[in-house]
Amino acid sequence: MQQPCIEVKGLNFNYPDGTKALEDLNLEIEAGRTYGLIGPNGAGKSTFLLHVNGILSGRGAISVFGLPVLEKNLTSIRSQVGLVFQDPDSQLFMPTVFDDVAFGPLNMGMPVDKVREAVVRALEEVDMLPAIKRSSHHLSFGEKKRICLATVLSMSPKVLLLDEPTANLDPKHRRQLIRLLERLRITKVIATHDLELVGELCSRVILLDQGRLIVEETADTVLSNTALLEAHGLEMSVCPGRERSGVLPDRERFSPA
Amino acid sequence: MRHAFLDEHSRRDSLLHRRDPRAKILAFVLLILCIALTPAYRFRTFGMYAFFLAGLVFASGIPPLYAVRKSLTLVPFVLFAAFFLPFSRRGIVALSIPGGLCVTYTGLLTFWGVVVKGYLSIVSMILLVNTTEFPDLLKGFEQLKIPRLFITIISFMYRYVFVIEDELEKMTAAKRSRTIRPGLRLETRTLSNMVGMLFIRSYERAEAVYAAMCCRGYSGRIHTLHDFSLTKVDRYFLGFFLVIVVTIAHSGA
Repeated sequence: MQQPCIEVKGLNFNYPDGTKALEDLNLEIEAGRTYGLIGPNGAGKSTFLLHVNGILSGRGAISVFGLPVLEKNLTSIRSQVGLVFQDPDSQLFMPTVFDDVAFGPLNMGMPVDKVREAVVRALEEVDMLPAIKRSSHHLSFGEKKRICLATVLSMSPKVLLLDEPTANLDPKHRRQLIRLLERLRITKVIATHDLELVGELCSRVILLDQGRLIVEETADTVLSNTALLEAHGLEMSVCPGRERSGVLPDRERFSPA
Repeated sequence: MRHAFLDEHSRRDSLLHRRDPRAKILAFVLLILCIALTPAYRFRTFGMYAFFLAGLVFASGIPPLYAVRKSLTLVPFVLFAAFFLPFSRRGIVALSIPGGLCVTYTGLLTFWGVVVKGYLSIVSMILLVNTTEFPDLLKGFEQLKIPRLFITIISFMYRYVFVIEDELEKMTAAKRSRTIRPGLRLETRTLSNMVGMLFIRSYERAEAVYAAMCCRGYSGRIHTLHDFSLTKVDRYFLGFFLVIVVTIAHSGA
């Protein structure tokens, strides 16, 4: 077995108001795979992602490529682990798209001409190069989402953490984003409610509920276990290789009296 | 969502738009300095400044009506600041108001000075902001050694004022859709709640933005790149501008 790129041992975290967000979490994430991180609202998916990058720190141990997530290692860890937030307005904070995408590389101390190269490459990767000089508040939601991805790709991370990448996207932009993620050949952890996306992109699934790890298995095993999904507030409307199960036969449909 | 622009016409193309932001900043700061230092009684000099500014508005292709409208929205602030000046100077009384207040000629002149200088400066700023894209303007200021913290604050303001405005709009719409019988008391109460809510949301937004910054290696200093180069035309522009402004300043002396 390969050495895990992210290793979590006994991670616990409570929010300041006492809400238990993560409870005794043990996980190993292998390099090169795509993981789907699923669970109902409040399961601790986002909280977990924020821990990998050292934004939050709870009790327990996390290490990324063998480096423990501690203050002194944060610079190195953050240049290897890219986190894409759910709300693009939080992630895009600079006056222009260029400045936003260049923010990470400049902080990493990259030489100026390399920064420009990295910005162009990252924007090309997400098909947004024409927007390089624009202000992000003039862009559409789908465009902002893609720029968010570029702000992290410009840092050439080894691991990509995505928080609800397809939330609020219309079908066309959702499809674009999925294709884009498919093309990226790096380790990915995708926190999402979009189980179809998990079915298409992920080889393994991590199911969390109330801060606890329920199961870490291959995607096929988890997604075909309807009872398990339903027990944790999830549902798969279209299962890969199965009939549309979301459509009820006519007689079972609710009809107003 | 509709988006308000501070720099609506900054993406046009004109001789003025194409100039290096640093050259424009220096030119307009000089112009404002000269306007501010002109004694209030030199009416002709002010007329020439106004003429020069009008010429620049036409040359830049900004719709004159837009410039006038935008400048008028700021006039009340100037008037407010200058309101008591006519009453507060000693001198020959021009008008006495029952109740012991007198308007003096010196007071009127000071009042006129503040208003006209204020107005001309506002027009200059409108010209600068509408011929330079805001991010370039910020970078120009940064190049001219304006403290970075100051630039950062303004840059965040420019980015998030629209986001907060959107949030306010959404809240207003949500409130309207649930208001059945509007009344002044209810309005004031919901307004204060909304202000509080907006504050909390802005605070949370700030935390999320900070987290996003940290994720991308922020360590207390924002680095930016710029690709400005002061061309020959920029130098001529600055020189030409300087000569005109100084000439106007000396005329009528």
